Amino acid sequence: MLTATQELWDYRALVLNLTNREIKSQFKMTFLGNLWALINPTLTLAVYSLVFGYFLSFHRNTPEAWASGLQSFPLYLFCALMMWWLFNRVAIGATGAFTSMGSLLRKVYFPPSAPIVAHGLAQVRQTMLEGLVCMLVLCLVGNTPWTFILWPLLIPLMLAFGMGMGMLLALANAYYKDVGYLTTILNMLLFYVTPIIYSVDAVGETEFMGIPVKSLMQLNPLTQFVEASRELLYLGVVPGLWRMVALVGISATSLVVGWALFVKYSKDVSEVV
Amino acid sequence: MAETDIAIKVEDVTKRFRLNQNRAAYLKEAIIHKTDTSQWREFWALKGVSLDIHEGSMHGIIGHNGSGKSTLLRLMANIHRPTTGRIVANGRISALLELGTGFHPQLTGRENIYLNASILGISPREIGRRVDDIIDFAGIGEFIDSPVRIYSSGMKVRLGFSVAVHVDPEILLLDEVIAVGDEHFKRRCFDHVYSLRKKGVTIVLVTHSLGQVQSMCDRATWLESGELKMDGDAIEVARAYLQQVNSAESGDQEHGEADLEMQGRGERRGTGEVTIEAVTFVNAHNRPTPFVNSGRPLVARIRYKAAEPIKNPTFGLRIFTDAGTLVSAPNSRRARFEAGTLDGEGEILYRMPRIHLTPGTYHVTAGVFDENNLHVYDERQREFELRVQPGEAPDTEGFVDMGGEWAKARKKLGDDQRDD
Repeated sequence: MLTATQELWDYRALVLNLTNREIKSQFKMTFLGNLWALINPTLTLAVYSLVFGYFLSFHRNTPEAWASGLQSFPLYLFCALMMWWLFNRVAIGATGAFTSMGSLLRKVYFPPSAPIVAHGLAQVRQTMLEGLVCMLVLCLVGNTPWTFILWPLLIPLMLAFGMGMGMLLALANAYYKDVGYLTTILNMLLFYVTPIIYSVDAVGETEFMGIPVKSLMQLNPLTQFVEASRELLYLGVVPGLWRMVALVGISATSLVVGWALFVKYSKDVSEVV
Repeated sequence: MAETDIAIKVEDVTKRFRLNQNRAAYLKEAIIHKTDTSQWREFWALKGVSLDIHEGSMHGIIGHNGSGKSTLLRLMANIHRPTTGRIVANGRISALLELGTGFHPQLTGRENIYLNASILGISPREIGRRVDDIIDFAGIGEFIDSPVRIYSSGMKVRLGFSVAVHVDPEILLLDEVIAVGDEHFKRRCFDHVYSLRKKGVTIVLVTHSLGQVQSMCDRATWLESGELKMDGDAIEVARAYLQQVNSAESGDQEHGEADLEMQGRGERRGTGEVTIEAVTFVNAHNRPTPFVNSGRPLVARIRYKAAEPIKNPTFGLRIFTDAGTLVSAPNSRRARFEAGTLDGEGEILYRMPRIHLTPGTYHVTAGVFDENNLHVYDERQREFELRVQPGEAPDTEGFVDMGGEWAKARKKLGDDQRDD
C-alpha cells in the first residue's frame, strides 16, 4: 500500500495533467461555456425551491438563520446541496472512470488510481465557486457569521470521503457493470434519506423498526457533512465536537479503506477494462 | 554478464488469461480468497519464459501469431503483471504497442502529446521544448489541434511513434508498428530507430519480418506457443526460424504451381498496352521454386501479355528488403538488351548466376516500360516475393553476401615501411 502511495506521488504530474484536462474540458462544446458552472446549480436550486419550498410549503419548517429573522428555504437547501453535489461528482462520478480511461490502461502503464484522484480534484473548483456564491448571497441578506471561514475545511474532508467510495465503485464497476446501474438507484435513495431538502427535525418522532429515524439519520455520513455545512454557513454555529470527530473519522476511514482495497484489487484491472 | 548490463530481466514468467470468465467467479474469488479454476476457461499465453535483454542491444522477438510475443511485450511494459515469475526493468520504458498507443480519442494531438509525456513522467516544460520536433516528425500538420478520433490510422501511428521516440526512453518497446505507414515514413522510422541505437537505447522489437530481425537486431528470441524456443544471436535465431517455416512450406510444395507464382498484393499502375502477367522464379533445374538458397543460381521469368505490337519495351525488376530498402534494380534498357517487337504472350528471362542476397524475404517489383523507359505500361509494385534461404556460405549480416574470401597477405606491413 505504501509503495502504491509512493507511486501515485511519483505520477503527480499525470494526476495534475488529468485534473487540468478535466477542468478545461468540462463545458467544452457548449454555447454558454463556463457560465454553466453557475447556471446549473442555480436552475437545480430553483426547481427544488419551487417544488418543495413553494408547492409543498417546506419553507415554513425552515430554521431561522444566524441573522435574526432570516428564514430562507433556498439558502438552507443550497448549503446542503453543495455537499451533496460534491459527493455525487467525486464518488458516483468515479464509477465510470475506467470506461473512459480504460482503453489507455491497456496500452500504456500508469497507476489506475490516477484518473480517479484527478477526477476528484477537478471537482474542487466547482464547489469553491458555489461556496463563494453562497457566501456572497448570505452576506447580501445580512447573514455574516465568522464561521464562514471554517467552511472550506469541509471540502478536503468530503474529497477524502468521496474518493474512498469512488475508488471502490470504479473498481467494482470495472468487473461488474451491474454496479453502474445499481448506483443510480441507490444514489436516489441516498438523496432522500439524507436531510437535504428537509431538516432533521422535520422527521419528528417517526420510528423505523423501533428506532427513531432521527437517530438513524445520524449514522449516515452525508448527514454529518450536510449538517456541518448548514451550521457553518446558515446557522453560524461551530459544529459540535462529536460531529467534528465523526467527520474526520469517516473521511479518513473511507480514504484508507478504499485505497487499501483499491490497491489490492486493481492490479489486474488492465485485463478487464 | 553482470546484472548492470541487463536492461530487462525476465525470470521464469508465466501469464494466464481467463476466457469466458463467469462474472460470479470474480466475486467468489474476492470473497473466499481462493482460486477456483473450474469457473473459467484459461489460456496460458506464456509458460515459463526466461530471458535477458542486454543493455544497448536491439532485441527481436519472433514467432507465429499467438505465440505470446505481444503478451511478453505488454508484461515488459508493465501493462499486465505476470501470473508467476518476475520482470525487472532497468530504465525508463517507452512503449508503442499498437495503433495509436495511449491516445485519448477526445483530446487533440497536442494534448495527447502532453498526456503521454506526463504518463512517462516527463514534465510539461521538458516536453514543451520537444513538442515541435514531435509534431514535425509525425507530419500531422494542422491536424495537431484536432481531436485524435478524427485521425486516420496512419496519422495515429505516426504520432504514436513520434511521441515514443522523442521522450528520451532508455528502453523502447515496439510492437510491429513500423510495419504500417507509408514507405517514406517507414524509412524515417528506421533511421530514427537506428540513431536511438547509436545513443545506446535498448530496443525490443516484436516483428514478423525476419528481414528486420536479421538486418537490425543483435539478439533475438523465438517464442512458440508461449514457450521459449530459442534465444541468442539474431541471425542464428532468424535462420533457425526460417528453416522451420521453410520445411513446413516444402511439405506444401506439391500444391500446384499457382502458389509459386506468388501473386501478392501491392500497387499497380500503367496504361496496360503490355501487362506483366506473372513473375516466377525457377532454379538451376528449370523448376519453379518458392525459395532459393543463397549462393545458388536463379532465373526470374517475367510473363507478359501485349495487347498490340510494342517495339522494344524495357523490362525492370526492383528487389527490396522487408524493411523497404532497395537492394537492386536490374533494368533491360540499361543492360542494352533489346526485346524486339512484342505481340501476344511470352516470357522474358532475367538470369542470375548466383544469388548474392543474405537469407530473408525480399519483395520484388516487376515493370514494363516503353523503349525510353519513361512511359509505364504496367508496374506491379512489390507483388512478388523472393525468399532466400541460407546457403553453404557462412551467413553475413546486411543484405548482400560479397562472396569474397579471406586470406593473409604475404608481406608484413612493417616490411613495406622499411622499403621507403
